Amino acid sequence: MSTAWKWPEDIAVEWIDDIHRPQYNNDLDPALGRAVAAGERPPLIRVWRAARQEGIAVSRKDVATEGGQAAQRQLEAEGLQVVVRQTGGTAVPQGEGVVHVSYLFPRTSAKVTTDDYYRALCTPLMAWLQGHGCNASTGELRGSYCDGKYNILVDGRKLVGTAQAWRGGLAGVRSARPGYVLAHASIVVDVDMAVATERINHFYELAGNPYRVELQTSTTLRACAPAWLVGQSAAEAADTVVRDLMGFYEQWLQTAKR
Amino acid sequence: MSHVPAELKYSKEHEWVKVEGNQARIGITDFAQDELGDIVFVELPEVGTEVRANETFGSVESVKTVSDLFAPVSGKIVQVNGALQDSPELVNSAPYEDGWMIVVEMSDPGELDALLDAAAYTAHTAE
Repeated sequence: MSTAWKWPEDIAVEWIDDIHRPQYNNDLDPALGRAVAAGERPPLIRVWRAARQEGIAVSRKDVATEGGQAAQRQLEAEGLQVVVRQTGGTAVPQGEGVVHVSYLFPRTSAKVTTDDYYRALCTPLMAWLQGHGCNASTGELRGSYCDGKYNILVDGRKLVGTAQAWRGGLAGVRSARPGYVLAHASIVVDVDMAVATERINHFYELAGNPYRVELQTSTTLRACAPAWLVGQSAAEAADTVVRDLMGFYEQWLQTAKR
Repeated sequence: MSHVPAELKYSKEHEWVKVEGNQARIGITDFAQDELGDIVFVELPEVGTEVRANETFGSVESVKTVSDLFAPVSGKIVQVNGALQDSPELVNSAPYEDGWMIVVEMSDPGELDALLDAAAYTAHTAE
């Protein structure tokens, strides 16, 4: 990270979600971010479960076209949720076996970059995965869903997608306006990736977009850490992961502050 | 070294303004587009929308992140750069020309006085 990077003081780690209202669950990120920006809440690491209903989360870009909006309506008519998220990129799996981590930090006058926030997001998550015996790294992976430089890969296959949104001004520049930075990670704990990949590709096919995802690029936490989460359903596994991450971040932040 | 045309005005938040009579053509600076990286989507309001100085009017998505866009002046939007829908990369390749975003019919041209000239903006980016 750049020399300007500092973890905010007094970060709260909280489990905040509403698994029965998919879009509201997602929209808690900007609502909490605005409260952080206004100083009404401390800087926050939100650990949360995706809603129970199966589906995908897309970016505003994905549904900006008539084709994208038609694809959204069609998937919803098929009983799937199509959540529109704050951050950019392309579609990611959603459902009861997905866990999210959202950093909601106030904007700072320091000269920090998107890379700083990605590293602050990925470094602890990779340490957490290593602690569960997973060989984690970051990097692009052609053909993976929502591909980017800061994918978290395990043994070369994508397990975690990451993205950001900067509110209160442009990213990577100092802003005098109050605002917040959302750095977000989506962890696929237990999802049938064959089905999820088909859904993502179905969405883009309906949208008239040639973008496609390749199944062999992805993995799940259940597959990466087979000795953990044994006998648990996807929903139970997500609960276990949230609790485990909460404890991990509490400890990690103590170390990071030193 | 980023390009800072002398004839434009600038906000501290890295938007540029080209004054054309009572209208203001608005985009983001070369410095800003370079910080954002490759731009893949620009979300802009429709013609006729009222914008207020220092309030958000849209967003820009790069390969790294999504960011808010802020209006440097108040008024009604009279033109939107539709070319950015299919070619958002114009913001990277020609931020002061084909990469412009909106044209606003200014309701308070006095707001221009709060903006920076090229020299002051250059100094601002060097801080």
